[in-house]
Amino acid sequence: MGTAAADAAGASVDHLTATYQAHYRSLLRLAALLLDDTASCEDVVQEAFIRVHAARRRVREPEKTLAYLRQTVVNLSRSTLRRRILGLRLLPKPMPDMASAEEGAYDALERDQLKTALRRLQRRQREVLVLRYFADLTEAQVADALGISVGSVKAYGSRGLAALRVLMESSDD
Amino acid sequence: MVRELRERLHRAVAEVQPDPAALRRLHDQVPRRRARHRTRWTGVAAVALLTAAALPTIHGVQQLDLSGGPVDGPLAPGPSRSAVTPGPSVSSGAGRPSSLPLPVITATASGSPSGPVPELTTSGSLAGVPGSPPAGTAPTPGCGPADLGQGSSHLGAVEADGRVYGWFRVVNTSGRACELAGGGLLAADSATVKVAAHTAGGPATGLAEPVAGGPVLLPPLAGYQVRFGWVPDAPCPGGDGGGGGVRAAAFAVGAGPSGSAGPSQAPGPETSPSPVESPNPTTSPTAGRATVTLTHTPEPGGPKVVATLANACAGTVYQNGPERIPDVSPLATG
Repeated sequence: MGTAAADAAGASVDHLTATYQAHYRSLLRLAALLLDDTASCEDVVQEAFIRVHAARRRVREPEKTLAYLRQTVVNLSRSTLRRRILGLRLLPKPMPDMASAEEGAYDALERDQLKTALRRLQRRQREVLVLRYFADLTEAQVADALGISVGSVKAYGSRGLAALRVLMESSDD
Repeated sequence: MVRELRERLHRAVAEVQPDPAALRRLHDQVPRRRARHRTRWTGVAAVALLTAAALPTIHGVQQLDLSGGPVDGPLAPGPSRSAVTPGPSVSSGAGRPSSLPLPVITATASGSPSGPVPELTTSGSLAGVPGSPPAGTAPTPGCGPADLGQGSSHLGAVEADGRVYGWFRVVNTSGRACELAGGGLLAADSATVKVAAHTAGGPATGLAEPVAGGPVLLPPLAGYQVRFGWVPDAPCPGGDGGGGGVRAAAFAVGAGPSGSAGPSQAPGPETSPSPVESPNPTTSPTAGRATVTLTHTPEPGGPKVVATLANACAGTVYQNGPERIPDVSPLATG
């Protein structure tokens, strides 16, 4: 019956690969928007994948895997937790975000402006905006992921949008 | 504003790409983390059990060894006033319990990495437990080797007629409900000890009448137990009539097939250099006796739970089928 164990391991590896292919990049980008320290987004997403896949219970519900991953990424992106991961970090890695040649200069500027503005929002506002408008979650899904009420999601969302508008306009000047 | 924000958010991170080594690292790290979880749980269970189950056992053994040996002077307090088997540690311990014939606690990490199940030595000794391998039709998945853990075992004191009753317990540690495929396998590593299913009116009268139940469904963290009783073929010779110097209950939780570190040695009671041979260690009365290890394997290839009968003579281990126990605290005994 050793084969059964091997099969189970094989299945979970396949599930890991499939999940990686389907979601890793978008979660990496989600982390890049949430983190004020973009250098660690790869660590955060790696850690989220490891945690979710090492907990068999979660792998057994493949349809919930993405939700668990997203939730874990959000949680790990909060600074206190992130520091712990950074302590575990094995290798310094180059920033995945490589601003390139001149043609990208304007884009780079725009990117930076948005990211800077996001970072100046309250953490909850930032999380709601990113999950709502980048990850395209519904308000209910955002509420689930953050463990807050739908009403709070709405409130954080509208205040976040207003604050972001102010921040972007002021930096346009 | 909202649409523009959507686009800008996506543009802002459009160039963020995974590290090329990311997937390989995950394949490396996920099994490692899983193994770490498993090791931790096994270790916790082993330590808790050693403290919980060793004490009652010691007590039982004390009474058992009230054989004809001479009184050996000021010893540990307690019911064993008439005799404790002589041994090297007698002189030293000022009431130290280890001068008593402690069970030899052997943390036998049974299970080589490939984890071959100890073969049953007697034909027909396969435990007749209800249920059959999962046919795949059940709505609840069957419990796999990796789903079951926190194994524990217990052997009671040797009774007057020489019988010893005990149990194995195993917990569903997977976090989801599963169904026991067969209820595991009980094996004895001695040719003189057979394993059989307990039947109504059978010799192991201390066991409950077997009930023909359906498959056992285990919610997360629920456990099952398999009760068993060892019945000697004849009173073991050379002792106090009944128990005859049989010592019950070293036990251990075996490591799973991952082979990882296994349960560590028993913390304290790695007992004094077994001064616990039977009164006349050299000759006949002990002939035909052996330390018999009973191994319960919940699922082939998975962790095992072990109980040891020291100094046992020929006999039969009768076992009941698995029964659900509602909630498991590793400290619960009896």
